[in-house]
Amino acid sequence: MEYAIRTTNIVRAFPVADGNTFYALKGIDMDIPEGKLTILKGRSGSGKTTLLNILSALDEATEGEVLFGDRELGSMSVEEREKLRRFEIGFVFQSVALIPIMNAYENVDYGLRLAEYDGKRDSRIKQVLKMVGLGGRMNHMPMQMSGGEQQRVAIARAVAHKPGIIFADEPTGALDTASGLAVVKLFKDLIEQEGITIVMTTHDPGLMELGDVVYELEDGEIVGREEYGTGSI
Amino acid sequence: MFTLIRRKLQNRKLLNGCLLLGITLFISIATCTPMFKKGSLNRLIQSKFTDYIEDNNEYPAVIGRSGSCKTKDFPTVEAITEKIDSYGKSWQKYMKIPAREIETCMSVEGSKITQQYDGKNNWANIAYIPDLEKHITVVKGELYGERKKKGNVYPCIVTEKVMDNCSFVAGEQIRFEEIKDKNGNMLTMQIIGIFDEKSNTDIFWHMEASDFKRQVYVSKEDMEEILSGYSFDTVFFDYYMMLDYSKINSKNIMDLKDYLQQFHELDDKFTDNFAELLEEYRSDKKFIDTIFWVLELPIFVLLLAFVYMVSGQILSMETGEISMLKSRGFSKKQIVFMYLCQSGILAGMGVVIGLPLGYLLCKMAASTNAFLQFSLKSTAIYKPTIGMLGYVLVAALITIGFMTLPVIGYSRYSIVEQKSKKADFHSVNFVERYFLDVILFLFSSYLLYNYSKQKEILAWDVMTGEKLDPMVFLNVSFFLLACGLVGLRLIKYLVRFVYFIGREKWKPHMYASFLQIMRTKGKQNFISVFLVLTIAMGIFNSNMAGTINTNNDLRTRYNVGADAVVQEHWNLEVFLTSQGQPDWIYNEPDYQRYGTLKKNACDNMTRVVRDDNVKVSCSNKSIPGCSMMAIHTKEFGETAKLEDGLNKEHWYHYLNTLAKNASGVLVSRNLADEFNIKVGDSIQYARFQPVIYKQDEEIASCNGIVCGIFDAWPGYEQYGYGYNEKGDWEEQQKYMIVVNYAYELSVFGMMPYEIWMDLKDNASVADVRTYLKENEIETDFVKGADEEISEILDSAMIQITNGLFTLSFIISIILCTIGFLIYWVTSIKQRELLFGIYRAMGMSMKEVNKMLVNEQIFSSLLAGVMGGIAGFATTLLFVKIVAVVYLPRAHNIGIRLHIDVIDMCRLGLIVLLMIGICLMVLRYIVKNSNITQAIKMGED
Repeated sequence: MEYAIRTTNIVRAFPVADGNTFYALKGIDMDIPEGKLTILKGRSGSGKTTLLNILSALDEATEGEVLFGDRELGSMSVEEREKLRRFEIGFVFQSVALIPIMNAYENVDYGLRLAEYDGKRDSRIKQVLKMVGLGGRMNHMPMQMSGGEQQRVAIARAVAHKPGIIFADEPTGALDTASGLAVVKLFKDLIEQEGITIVMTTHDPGLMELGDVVYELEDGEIVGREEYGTGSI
Repeated sequence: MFTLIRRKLQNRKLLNGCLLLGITLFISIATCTPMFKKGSLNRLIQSKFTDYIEDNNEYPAVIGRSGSCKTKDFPTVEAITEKIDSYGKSWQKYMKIPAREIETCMSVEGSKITQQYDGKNNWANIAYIPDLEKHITVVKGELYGERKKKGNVYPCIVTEKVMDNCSFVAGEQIRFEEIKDKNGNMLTMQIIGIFDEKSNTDIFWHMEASDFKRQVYVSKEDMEEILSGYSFDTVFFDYYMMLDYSKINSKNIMDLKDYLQQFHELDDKFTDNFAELLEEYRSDKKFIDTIFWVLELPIFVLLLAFVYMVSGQILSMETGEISMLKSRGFSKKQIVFMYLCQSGILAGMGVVIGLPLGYLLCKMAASTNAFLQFSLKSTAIYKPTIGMLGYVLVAALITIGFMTLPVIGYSRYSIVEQKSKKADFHSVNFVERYFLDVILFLFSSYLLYNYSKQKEILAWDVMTGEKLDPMVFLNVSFFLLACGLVGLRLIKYLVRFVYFIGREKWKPHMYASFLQIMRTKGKQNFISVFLVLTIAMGIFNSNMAGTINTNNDLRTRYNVGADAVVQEHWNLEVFLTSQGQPDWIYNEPDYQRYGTLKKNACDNMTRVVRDDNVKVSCSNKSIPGCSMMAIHTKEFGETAKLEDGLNKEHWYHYLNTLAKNASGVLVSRNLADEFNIKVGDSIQYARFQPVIYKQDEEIASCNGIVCGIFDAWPGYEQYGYGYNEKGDWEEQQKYMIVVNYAYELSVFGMMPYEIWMDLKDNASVADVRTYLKENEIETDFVKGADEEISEILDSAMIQITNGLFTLSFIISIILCTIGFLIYWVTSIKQRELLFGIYRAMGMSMKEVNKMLVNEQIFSSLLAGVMGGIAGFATTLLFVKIVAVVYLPRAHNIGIRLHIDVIDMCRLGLIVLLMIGICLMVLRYIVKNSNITQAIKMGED
């Protein structure tokens, strides 16, 4: 199995009041398999989002090593990390994080412009929006759409520029069960059709077995790893 | 609830601090208004009184009565004095203005007199002035009180004037042929002393001692005795009360005016010398009342808009809290009450700070002597008034209203409605939808068109004291606002156009920033209008004040003609010729006395004969009352000042032409037009005998060849104003001729001349005055261009305008800077999540910076440019019209637009600095915002 990301002994510490240090991650060793859906599970405060931020070059580990393919994230400059996020990664945030002043079409267009997409942007935008089932709502503003629809636009924006990996932080957190399942199905389809690697966090036990690999975190440590690979919706 | 309010205030310290600033400034301006207005009116009153003294050489605020009483009813001096005093007492009962002096003169019937030393037959009368001895200096002999009656001869004293008029000799006895003493003999007096007024500044002498041309004065005891045997039954009196005009102020002046009117109605012998002055004040006050509210209105509107904007910003950030409170069972009334209390606390704090700040602002406004220029002049006349408290209360209530009213709207919507309102990026605001900006622009342009056609009517209304049309000023505000709004519409179209032409090619940061500008116009419009108005108002106010000040300066210098002009007092000597005919001669004062002054304080000096009562004739037509100036051409050219460009050729050309023609005459263009004459034609001009001699008789008349026709000349005002025979105020043409001094002297003889001075750079008119005083040179007047200009700039109207323009500019700059920063800082804070997304998706800091700069260019900078355009357009279109209000009289120098480049640069620098600081603050905020934290915020 090829690995998209491999981590060795990641520690993330935050200074807190009274000169103390809070360890959000305490020596994480993990592998993210390529072209698979990896799920990070755990209770709130277990360190899932912190780990995801470090894996996606949004944050830096205090100690340890993160290999993104063959590149070590800790040794990359700010600009290199920006470029990495811009061209090779797609994001789906828990807060949806669509740009409120742009409609669905423009949100996806923005992502494509940012990644300097060299194909025909218009047809790609329409294609991905159709793919997430929003072909008819391209001109709608985020606030005019439901939570599920917004999340689908975010996914369309994340995949539009064909990144190698997508990070999704609690993409189903604000959705009802049916919408949540629809989002994960979309991820599975994307892996199948576009060969993308997806890493997502969730605390919804019902979604665990849909992942190819599931890591369980507790108090900043990995306490379990399971491989499914056969989960279907 | 109060804990909640405290927390709310603490949580948004920055915004609440700004809100407090807006409230405080609003309250302080409101506080400042009555104090500044009252001070300005008091200053106006006092300056009117002092101007009266200068113009008339007479104490102002004098009331009096002349009359007579019968000796059978008032047989003694005491009784007569009591009767006379009763008038004063009854006036004082109502007016309550203390008297500084009272001059009373009682006299008996006049009579023919026989003089001891065979003087010609004369006529005189006997008078008594209480307290006379306190106000005189005996120049010869002694005071009557020091010598008692000798036999039947009463001692008396007289003035020099009476000595001259009656040809008395000191020590001479005079007998009153028609007045008998109690023994039935002709009353006999001996002149034992000659007196003069102790001081010519003694206000006691309303009727100057020299005004009583045939009176001899006796002591009270002697007057008493004379009255006891008085053969007539009438005693005459003159009674003058010199009121303390420093006690006349804006509070009691109108009552005083009414009382004077009533006294006149009740007593036709009642006199006063300041009714006209009070009437002038009344019309000036109307003008000031209007000026005040029209100039203050934009500041108040701007401040309220600021309060509304900041409280709206706070409310928009608290919508969630309002919805949460509603969901927890708070009623709409309770929410409104909570905000009412919050507003009340802020308004209370505003009152505490605003009152003293208002006092300081008033002092600051009162100390301006031009736009944004402050001086150290005394502002003691500007005192706090009790009325300020009323203004403060009303201002506080208004701000509370402006802070609380929007809450009603916010508390009406549910959380879902709030969100959908926030998400509505495509809605067009009310003003744009109904083209109110264009309508307002057309409306104000139409008013402008009308006013520009009616400039003369406007000037006329101002000169005749008619009510000033406030729309003249308000239309400026309308036009500025319309320009601002239309400008924003244009900016919007421009942004759309720029976005459209590159929509496929824009880099992501440009793409995002254009969409940001186009989709968040609502709030941004408000701050942009603010920016446009501030800049436009700043430019207009600066240029308006500059134009008024500069034109006053130019016109005053032109009118005076030189740095300083002195008219020395000339004595007119009347004598009999050897043929026994009366004749006169002016005794020329020694011109050499000015040698030291010329050496120390002047670069040049010249004598100029000026006569405003010359008759000029041509063919069969004559024009009386023309002005004539007789000059030494070379000296005059070196001394007098005249701006180039007012005549067709440089004025030295006219001087040279005149110098070559001894009998040549330069004539004003209006005179040439009136006679239809040209260069080379001949005119006649004649001067008249002195006014006190035979003013209707010509001294001589002579011919002059017209050698030049001028439009402007130093000291020549073409337009005069006055009431015609029908009593209507009208513009009158003034005509002038200029001739050679030597020629004029040879024809008309020695007549009084003015001395014109070109002062050295380090000398002033004050130096000239000091020199005249030190050398005891008596003058009829001393004029100084600088002094007159500073008096004009110090006048109430100009002071108010400069003060209010300066205040409004400073306040609008403060508001604009703070409003601008608040808007952007809060808008960036609100967009922190958005920046987090941009940065998370890989947008570099450099691109974020470019995005912010692009936003600033297409919103703030363009708004600033639009403000500049609006300001200059308003200046070009309106300044000359509004300036008519301050400079209503036609003049050889037409109203000139003055644009102060330094002020404009200063303003531009402030705006650039504001945008620069703003960009730095925004960059700092964005740079220091943690991406993961920002995204986390979105989750919350």
